[in-house]
Amino acid sequence: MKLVNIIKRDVYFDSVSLMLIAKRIREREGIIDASIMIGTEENLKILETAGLLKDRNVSANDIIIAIRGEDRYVEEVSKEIDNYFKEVSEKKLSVKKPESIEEALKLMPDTNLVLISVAGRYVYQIGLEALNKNLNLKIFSDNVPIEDEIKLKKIGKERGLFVLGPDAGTSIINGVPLGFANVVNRGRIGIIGAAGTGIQEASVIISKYGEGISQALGIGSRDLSNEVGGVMAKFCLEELSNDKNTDLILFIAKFSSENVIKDILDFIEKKVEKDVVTLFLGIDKKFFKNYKKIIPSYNLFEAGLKAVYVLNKKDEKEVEKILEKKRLDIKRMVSKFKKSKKYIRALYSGGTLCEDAIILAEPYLKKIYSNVSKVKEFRIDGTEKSRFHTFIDMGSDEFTKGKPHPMIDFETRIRRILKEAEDKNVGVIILDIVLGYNAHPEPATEIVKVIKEARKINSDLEFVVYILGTQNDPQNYSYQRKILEEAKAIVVDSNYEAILAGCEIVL
Amino acid sequence: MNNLINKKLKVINIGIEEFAESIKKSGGEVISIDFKPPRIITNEELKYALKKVEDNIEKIERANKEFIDRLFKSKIYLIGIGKALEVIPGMHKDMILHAGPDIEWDRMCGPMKGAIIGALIYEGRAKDEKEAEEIASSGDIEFSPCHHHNSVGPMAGIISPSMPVFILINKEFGNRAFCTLNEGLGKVLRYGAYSNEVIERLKWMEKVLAPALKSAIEGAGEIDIKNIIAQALYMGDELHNRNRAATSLFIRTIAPYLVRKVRDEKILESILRFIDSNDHFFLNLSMPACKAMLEICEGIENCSIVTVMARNGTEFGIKVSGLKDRWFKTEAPIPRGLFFGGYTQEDANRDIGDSAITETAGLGGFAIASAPAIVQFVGGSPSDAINYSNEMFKITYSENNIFKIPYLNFKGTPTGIDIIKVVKTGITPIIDTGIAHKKAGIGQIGAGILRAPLKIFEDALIQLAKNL
Repeated sequence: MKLVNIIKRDVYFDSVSLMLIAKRIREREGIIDASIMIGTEENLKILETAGLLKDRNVSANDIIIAIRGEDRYVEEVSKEIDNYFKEVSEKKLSVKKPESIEEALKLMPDTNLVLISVAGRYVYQIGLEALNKNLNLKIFSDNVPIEDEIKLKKIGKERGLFVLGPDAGTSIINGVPLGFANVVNRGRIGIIGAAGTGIQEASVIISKYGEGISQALGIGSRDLSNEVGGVMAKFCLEELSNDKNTDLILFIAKFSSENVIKDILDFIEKKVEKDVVTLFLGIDKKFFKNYKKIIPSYNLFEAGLKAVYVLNKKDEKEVEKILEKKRLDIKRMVSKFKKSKKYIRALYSGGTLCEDAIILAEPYLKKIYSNVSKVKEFRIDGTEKSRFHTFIDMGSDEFTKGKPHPMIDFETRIRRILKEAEDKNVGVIILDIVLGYNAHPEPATEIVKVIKEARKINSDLEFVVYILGTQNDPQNYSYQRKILEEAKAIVVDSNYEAILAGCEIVL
Repeated sequence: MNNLINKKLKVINIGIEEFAESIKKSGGEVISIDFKPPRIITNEELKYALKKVEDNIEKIERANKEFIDRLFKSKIYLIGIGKALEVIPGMHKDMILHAGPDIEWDRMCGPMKGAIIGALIYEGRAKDEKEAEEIASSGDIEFSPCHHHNSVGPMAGIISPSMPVFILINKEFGNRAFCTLNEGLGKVLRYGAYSNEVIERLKWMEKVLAPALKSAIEGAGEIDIKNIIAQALYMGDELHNRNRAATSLFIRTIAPYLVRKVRDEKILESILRFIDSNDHFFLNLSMPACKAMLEICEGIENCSIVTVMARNGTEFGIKVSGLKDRWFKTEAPIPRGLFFGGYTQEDANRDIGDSAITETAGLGGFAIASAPAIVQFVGGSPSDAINYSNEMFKITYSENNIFKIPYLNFKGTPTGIDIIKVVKTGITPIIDTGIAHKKAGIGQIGAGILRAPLKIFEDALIQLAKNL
C-alpha cells in the first residue's frame, strides 16, 4: 500500500475538471482512493482528514494530487498523471474561446447576464467589470468576501441591475436554468430565494401540484445578513411585483437578522401589490402578528403547497390536510421496516434542506447537532465527528473551498457515510439526492454502491433517500428511484417525508 | 425596468463549462469565457498602491491615452549619419555611452568591459587591453547610458566620440534619436570583442561605409523607417532578433542613391556585400526608430506606460512615462536559448543591450508571431510564438495602428506596456534577444528569450501610486 502526493505548481484548473480527473483515477485498477484539489488551506484539511495528505508544501496557486493504492499501480498512475491534465487542457484549447468579457461582448453584443462560477476571490473584479458594462450578474461562486458582495450589490442596485448571489446555486430566469435547477413547469409563481436547494424544493413541489414558475431568483445566502441588508431581496421583490407574468411571489430564506427580516416584511407589506407567501426557516410565528397581507409558512413543503393554494384562491387549510395525509402515508410505509432506538445521521448536499430538516425533526427529536444549528450548544463544525442525532450540510463552506459542490461531487459525502456506518449507535442515514441540470448525472448509482458498502459495516442500518427532482429532469427520475428501491432504501419525494420517515424509525 | 426579465436570455458564462450546456438546452444563448485566474497579491504596500491606482484610474487612463496618441502619431525618418561627438547631445571627447541603466566600471560585466576596451583602442587612446583598462578605471572617462543622450545601442551599446551614428528624426515632434551602424555577426565590439579585426572593421565603417551611406541618405533626402518596419512585419521579421526582411528592404531603398554617389565599384561592392551579409543591419535602425517614438512619450504625468526597458549586462532597468527620468533596476536575468556549437547556457552573460526598446514599442518579442522563422528560440512551434504575442496583449495598452501581424488576422502588435497590467496579471514582457558570452572578447554565442523581472514593475507602480 502506498500514498503519494504530487504537486503541480502554479497551474490552474477548475475544480470540476480536477474532480473528473480524480474520478477517472479512482476507477483504475489497484487504486483505492484519489483526490485532486487546489492547494487551499481548507482543502489540505480535507485531505488530511481523509488520510491523503503527505506533502504540506503546497500553496493556493498549486494543485495537489493524492493517490492511494497498491504500490505498483500508484506508481503507474503517477507517471501518467500529466496525460490526464493534458487531455483536459487540449479539450479546452481545441475551440478558441474568448478570454475576457470584452471579447465575448464583441461576439454577443446584446448579452444581458454574466454567470460567474470561478473561485470566490476572483469574483469581485469580474463582477465589477460586468456591472460597468451594464450586465446583470448571477454569481454561483461561494467564499466571496462579504465586502465584495456589499460593493457589487450596491452598484447593481444603483444601476438597476440584478446581482444574484454570491452563493446562489439556483436561479431560473425566463425559463432558463442558471446553475442547479430542475425542469419545472413555467407558470405564474415567482420565487425569490436566499437559499439554493430551497428554491429547487419549492419549485418542484409547485410543479408537482400543477402550477409553475415565472422566475426563480436566487439572491445568495447572505443577502439578508445585517451587512448586506437585503439589498437584492428588495430589488427582486420590486422587479417581480412589476412583472406582468408573475401573480404570486414566494419568498424563501433561512432565518437570519431580525432587523433585516422585519425590513423585508415591511417592504412587502407596503410596496408589493401581489400575494406573497414567505418562508423564513426557523422564524417564530409571533413575528407575523402585525402583518396582514403576508402569508407565512414554516417549512419548504408547506411553502410550496401554500403558494399553489393561494394562487388558486383555495382555502389555506387544505394544506394542513395534505400534510396530515402524508404523515399517515409515511407511517404506513415505514411500518415495513425495522425500528430501532438509535440515532439519525442526515447528510445533506443542500444547505436549505438541512435547515428545513432540523425544523421538521425538532418536534420529534431531542438534541439535533448540526453545522447549521441555530442553537449554540448544538452547533458543531461539519468536519467534527457526529454525535447523537447529527444533521450535516455538506455544502457549507468548510467542505467546499476549492472543491465542487457536493451535489456534483459525492466524494466527501461517500467518505462520511462510511464513517457514520462505523458508529453502531446509528440507525438511520438520511440522504438527499438532487436531480436537475448540472447536478450529478447518475447519483443513485453512486449512492447505491455506498449503501451496500455501509451495510457491510453495519447491517442494521436503514437508509432514507429523498429525491428532489421531476420526471423531466435529465437524470431519469424513475430509473434513479428504481435502483434505490432495489437497494432497499426508503425512497421519498420530499424532505418533509424523509424526516417523518427517519423519525418514525428511531422513535 | 431591467433588461433581463422576459427578454431572451443571453449569457456570458465564466467558470464551470457545464452550465453553458444547460442554458443552451433550455433556449438561452451563451458564450463561455476561458477563465485564467488573476495573480494573488499579498504584499501590503503593493495592494495599497493598486488600490490607489484604481481610485485614480481615470487620470491614469487620460495620461495613457496621451502616450499612445503621441506614439501612434510619430513619423520616423532616417535623415543622415553624423559623428557621435558632433551630433549626440551631451557627448564629449572623454565620454563613452553604454547600454542599459547607469553603471560604474567596477560593476560592468565582461562583454561591456571588453567593448569599452575596444572603443578606447579604436579611439586611439589606448594601445592595448592593459592600458585601456587603466584608463577606464582611472575615472578620466565618463560613462553614461545611451538612453540619457537620445541614443540606443545593441548589446554593450558602446558609442565613443568618433563613431558614426545614424540620425533619425520624429517629424511629428521634431525630436531625434541616434544609434551606431551595425557591425555584423561573430566577433564584434557590441558583444565585447576587441581584437584587431574588430577595430579594423570599425575603422572601415567610419572611413568608408559611413561617408558613402551618408551621402546616399542625403541623396534620398529621407527614408521612412516606420514604413519599412511595417512592411518587414509582413515578411517574417519582428525587428529585434530577425531583421532580414527589413535589411533587404533598406538595401533596395538605398541602392540607387549609393550607386549614384559611390563611383568606386570596389567600394560599392564592399558596402553592398557588408550590408547583405549582415541580417541585423537594420536592427540599428529599428532600435533608434523605437527610441524616437518613445522619447516623445516620456514625462507624461500619471502615465503608467513604460518608455524604456534596457539592460547593461548587470542590471535590468525600466523607465515609466509618469516617473520621468527615474530608473527602476534589478539584477538582469540570464536569457535561455539556443547556443552556437561549443557553447552552453553556462557561458551566457546576464541580459544586455538597449534592444528591448523594440519590445517597449510593440516589436521584438511582442511581435514574435510575425516571425515564424525564429521560433526555435521560443520553444519550437509557430503556435508558441502566437501565444507569446497574444499574451502580451494582456499587459499592453493598445493594438498598434501601423505595425500589424498577418498571422493574427492583421491585428496590430501589442503596444504600450502598462505597469498596472503587468503587476495585476504577473505577466511580464517577453524579450527575444541575442546572448553574449560572459567573458569579454568572445562575442555572441546564441539567441533566446527571457522575461523582464516583475520586481521593477512593482517598484515603479508603488512610486507611481505615491505620486498620485
